[in-house]
Amino acid sequence: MLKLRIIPCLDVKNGRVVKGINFIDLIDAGDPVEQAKIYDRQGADELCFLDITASVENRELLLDIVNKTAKNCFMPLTVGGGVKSVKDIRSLLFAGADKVSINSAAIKNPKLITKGANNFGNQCIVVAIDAKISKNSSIKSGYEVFSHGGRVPTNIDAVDWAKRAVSLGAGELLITSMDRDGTKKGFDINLTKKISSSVSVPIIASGGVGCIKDFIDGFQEGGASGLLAASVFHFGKFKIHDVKKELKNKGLPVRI
Amino acid sequence: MSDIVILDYGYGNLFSIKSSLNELGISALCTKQFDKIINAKLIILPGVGSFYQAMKAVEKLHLDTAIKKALKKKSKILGICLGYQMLFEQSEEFGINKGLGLIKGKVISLNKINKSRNRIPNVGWRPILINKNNNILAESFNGKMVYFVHSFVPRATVEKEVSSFIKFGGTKIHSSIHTNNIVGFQFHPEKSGNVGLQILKDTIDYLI
Repeated sequence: MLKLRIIPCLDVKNGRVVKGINFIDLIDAGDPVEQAKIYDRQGADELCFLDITASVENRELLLDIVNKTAKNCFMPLTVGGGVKSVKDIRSLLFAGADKVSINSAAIKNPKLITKGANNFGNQCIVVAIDAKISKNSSIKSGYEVFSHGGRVPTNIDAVDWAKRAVSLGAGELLITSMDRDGTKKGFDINLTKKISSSVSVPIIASGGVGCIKDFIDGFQEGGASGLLAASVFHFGKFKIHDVKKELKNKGLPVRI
Repeated sequence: MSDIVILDYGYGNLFSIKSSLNELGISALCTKQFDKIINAKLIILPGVGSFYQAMKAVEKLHLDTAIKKALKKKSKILGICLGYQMLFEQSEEFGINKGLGLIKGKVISLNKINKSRNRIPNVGWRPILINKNNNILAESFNGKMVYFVHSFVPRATVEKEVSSFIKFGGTKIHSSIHTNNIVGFQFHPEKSGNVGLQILKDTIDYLI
């Protein structure tokens, strides 16, 4: 049986982790490669790097981080942030990424999803969707897609976009609730469920995890195949293996 | 001359495979050079991509000829993920396309066999069920978890050549193969932690 995935996410800016960790010694505190190694040892099922600066110079930095991580951690890596072209996807895959996540560029140019899937297979194209609750009547699902790291409203319905992204070739969707991100109030189950029941590809839910029950709800109620979290792991509130033990005790299929 | 070469044809996760071999203390050369390939003891065929594009790239570089020539000289070949699929006769990914034809069987879409409606692509960790009659994967790997990320899978014609299975969509699918000098894994041993590294080590120890 397929195991549910626990995926720590490292937001990287200028080559450093920014939802930082302040509980280990300062030298390595923000080093993404060192943090990746810790998560690997804790039994993470996959790692996610999101480059939140994504300028040209930083692209090299990100490739270097992916490269160093792949040299040391023999686990799946998903990388995103500023991916705009097939060339960007190829260079990330060559650096050691297994899947590449596309967000704003896919909204601007949906053909990029298809091009990426045709070249590298749809299993390696993840479309990341940042969604926020909307009262706008043209947004039927009640969730609007935002681009550019959540800064630009698109007037696109999140469920419609999810379905379209899959039909264009996305092999997985990473759904972030902007309302819940960083709040520790739990995943937006309604959003996760709406999307997981509308498409047949795996869904990774992100944004808002604060306690063990949130993980359980994300899988059981939300229908997610993977759950992504940043701060609860960075700040040491939970160790990944402890979370997985708890999930196992509740009868959920996890890899221990 | 390197004993082990990793084929560099533009569609592989070469770096991850090379890194995992490094970790095991095994050196390998990434190359597309004909003479280096035909003289290697073991050829690793990686692959992340679509079957058609990858086969086209292999043929353009005449690596298909190199592989077949090497096999005649008793070289061994290890295909991983898409590289495993390419060992077979054909795939139905983006239309019917011919593979290397080194193993009897066809690569089919997971959608075709998905009776219990699992999500596709098949992404994540699954326990492998070992075929006891194989020489590569020890029985101790039975139930051990490895990482998969794929939408297609080979269906080998000769089932006794299948070295492991996984349960998917209410049926069993062929997650690895071993026949004569050819080994293939649908999963990514180079991404499957210590279990994966051990599988790689055992395979290489057996083959060369």
